[in-house]
Amino acid sequence: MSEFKDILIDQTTRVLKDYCNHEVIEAADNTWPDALWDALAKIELPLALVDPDAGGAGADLDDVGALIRLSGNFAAPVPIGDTMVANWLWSVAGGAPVAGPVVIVPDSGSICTHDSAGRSTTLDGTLCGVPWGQNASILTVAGNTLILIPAGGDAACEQQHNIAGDPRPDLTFFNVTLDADHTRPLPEGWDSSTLEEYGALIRSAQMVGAMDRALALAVEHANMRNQFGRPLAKFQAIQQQLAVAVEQVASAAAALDGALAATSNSADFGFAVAVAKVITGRAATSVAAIAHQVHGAIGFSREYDLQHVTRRLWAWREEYGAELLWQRRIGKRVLAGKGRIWDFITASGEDQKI
Amino acid sequence: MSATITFPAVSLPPQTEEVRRDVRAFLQTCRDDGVFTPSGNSWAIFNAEFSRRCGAAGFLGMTWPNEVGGHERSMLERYVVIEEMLAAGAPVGAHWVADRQSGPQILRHGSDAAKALLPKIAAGECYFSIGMSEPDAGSDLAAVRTKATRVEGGWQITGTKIWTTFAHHSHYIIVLARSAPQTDNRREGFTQFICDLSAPGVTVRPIVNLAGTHEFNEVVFDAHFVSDDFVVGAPGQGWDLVTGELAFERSGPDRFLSAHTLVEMAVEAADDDDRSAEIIGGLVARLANLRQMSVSVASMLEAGQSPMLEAVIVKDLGAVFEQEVPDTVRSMIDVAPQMGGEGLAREMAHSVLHAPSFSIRGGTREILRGMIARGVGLR
Ligand SMILES: Cc1cc2nc3c(=O)[nH]c(=O)nc-3n(C[C@H](O)[C@H](O)[C@H](O)COP(=O)(O)OP(=O)(O)OC[C@H]3O[C@@H](n4cnc5c(N)ncnc54)[C@H](O)[C@@H]3O)c2cc1C
Repeated sequence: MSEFKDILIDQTTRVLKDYCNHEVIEAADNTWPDALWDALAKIELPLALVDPDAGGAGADLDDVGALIRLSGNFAAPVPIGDTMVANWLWSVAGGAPVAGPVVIVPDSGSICTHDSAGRSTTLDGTLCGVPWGQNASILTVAGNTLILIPAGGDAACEQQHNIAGDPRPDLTFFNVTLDADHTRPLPEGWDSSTLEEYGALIRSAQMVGAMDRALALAVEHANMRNQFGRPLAKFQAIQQQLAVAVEQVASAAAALDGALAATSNSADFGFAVAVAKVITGRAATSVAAIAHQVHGAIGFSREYDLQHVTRRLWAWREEYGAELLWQRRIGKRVLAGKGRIWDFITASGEDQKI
Repeated sequence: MSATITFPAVSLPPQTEEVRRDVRAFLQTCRDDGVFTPSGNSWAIFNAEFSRRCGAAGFLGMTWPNEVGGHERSMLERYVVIEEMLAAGAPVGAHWVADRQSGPQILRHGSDAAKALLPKIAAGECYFSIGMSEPDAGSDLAAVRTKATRVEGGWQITGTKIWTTFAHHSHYIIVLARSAPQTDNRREGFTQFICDLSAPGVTVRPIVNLAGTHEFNEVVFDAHFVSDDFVVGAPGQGWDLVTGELAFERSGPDRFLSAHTLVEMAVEAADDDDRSAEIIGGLVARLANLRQMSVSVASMLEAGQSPMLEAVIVKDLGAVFEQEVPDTVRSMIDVAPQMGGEGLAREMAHSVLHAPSFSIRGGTREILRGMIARGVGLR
């Protein structure tokens, strides 16, 4: 798999270098970056994770984790990670993957009703903060049904942005009916938190990528910028701060790798993802703060690239559950188990299900 | 250049689960027999009876060859044994240094005479101390002044070591001494010697710590004789040997489990509400993350790599974590620390009083962070 992974990383890096520059990112809050998306689509990333039998490239979650991380590194203002994962999940459930962007809304139970024969689903109500909601199809769960809401047209869109400036509109549906092509029974082993777990995994991977970048920029800046006749990197106060950032990025990357290595439908996947989201979220806070401190005023300017990744770190740590939500879930499970937490940490499979 | 250090995810091989069951059963028996009650920071608790039982059960010298009393198990199997013991708050202090670093060093660099000590270490009957720090040489270890002078058949050691944990209990101490005059390279001219703590010319004086316990000591050597076969490695190799063992010393579960007994007791005492759940979930996530990183380093060591920077990262993150445990617990439950006795109040007192040492022993926080900074190209 690894040569294939290298090729994917190579191709994706090239596309991002060419199409995801400062201007593209700055403009993306109000215009969908067509050229960037088309370039990513051209190298077939939207279907990368889908099985070859279903028309995909057959990459595995570990490969795709690396690509999502890369997209975070470049602060890509498109839901490419969301699309790769959502298309795969949809195809696993038997749906036909789509070429355009797909995003994940974990739960739409409150706005969905299914007809008794299970042939159609009606949407009536508002989904809040849907990533690129005006451009993307939406993979969502209502009860025991997985639903793919097609992109475009059928909802009233009220534009909102997260603090990175990425579109997170509220979509309101007025009695929109979807036929059976757009619904699938929830596959064996999935439950109401499955989509949220994948959403959290995607954001964790993006955060690790964004932290790679923030740290690299800070180290580079510390070596280049001179004050008092020497590079900032010579000052011990700067070294000590950057060492903490290095530790935080390393711990986040390790937590991400742990989640990517967990078998995707195993019972302990949820715990691995919870750990990843908690650790990457914590690390994001610390790494963004340190990167800014080391940069001084230039890091606070709009023109300098650091803000593209740090604003996304601040946004992504909240999406698909902030640290507190996942901590609560882990903690509740541990409290309900009544055993030693050590037994829980060293367990696997069903015994580590949250 | 990327400044991101990777810790590949490793899952422990299935046979380690068998080892885990064995060690859990062993610990239960020891508790039932009254050999110990769980305590935090348990690798600083001396209990020879427990160590002898560990030896008899095959939990010491686990990775060493059979002919020196070892058990030819993998490093990951050993890892599971020590993490279970530490998580259970078992008093591993007597054999800790001998099993973790002195023994492996003797195995690799010792003479046959020195190797004759290994079966006793593996039996849990022979204990070692570390003789590095001196009154004027702490973080700056190259400032060591203890002097080794060549004499007929061996060396004569003169000087003072300080903060030497369990020198009053141990049989031997491995001393880092200057065996050749200082040159422009301050790290040259050091040699490590195995010194018999009961032999003439060695005086051990207690230093009581702030918790009121006698763990460390001052050790004075006055023309103490060491025969050639108790030199570790070749003369002049001292610095390389000392730094070579640091990856083993710095990345283990001892670096984040020092307050684990308190964590378990606090979870048991916590209310079943959202706030407690959030705090406990945070502790569990960090612990799981540190453990994963530490296991990753163990498997790099097993593969013969030398993950120096990775080990330093685990140690510093681990020390921050275990130092934060008492305050995290204080934010969740109301408990007045109490000296003596048993249970949560005692454990809280123990953790509060020992926490300051977590970021000093084995390399201070600032020194570790300096190494990390250098490792990613700063300086
Ligand atoms: C519980 C405990 C057990 C120990 N057991 C042993 C043992 O068995 N054997 C043994 O040999 N030693 C032992 N030690 C000693 C330990 O290794 C030393 O304490 C440690 O190396 C630090 O040295 P120091 O205490 O002299 O502090 P110093 O080196 O004097 O440091 C004091 C402070 O200054 C900072 N500092 C020093 N240099 C720098 C620098 N270049 N840049 C920035 N900051 C700096 C340090 O980080 C620290 O915060 C033990 C220590 C403790 C606390």
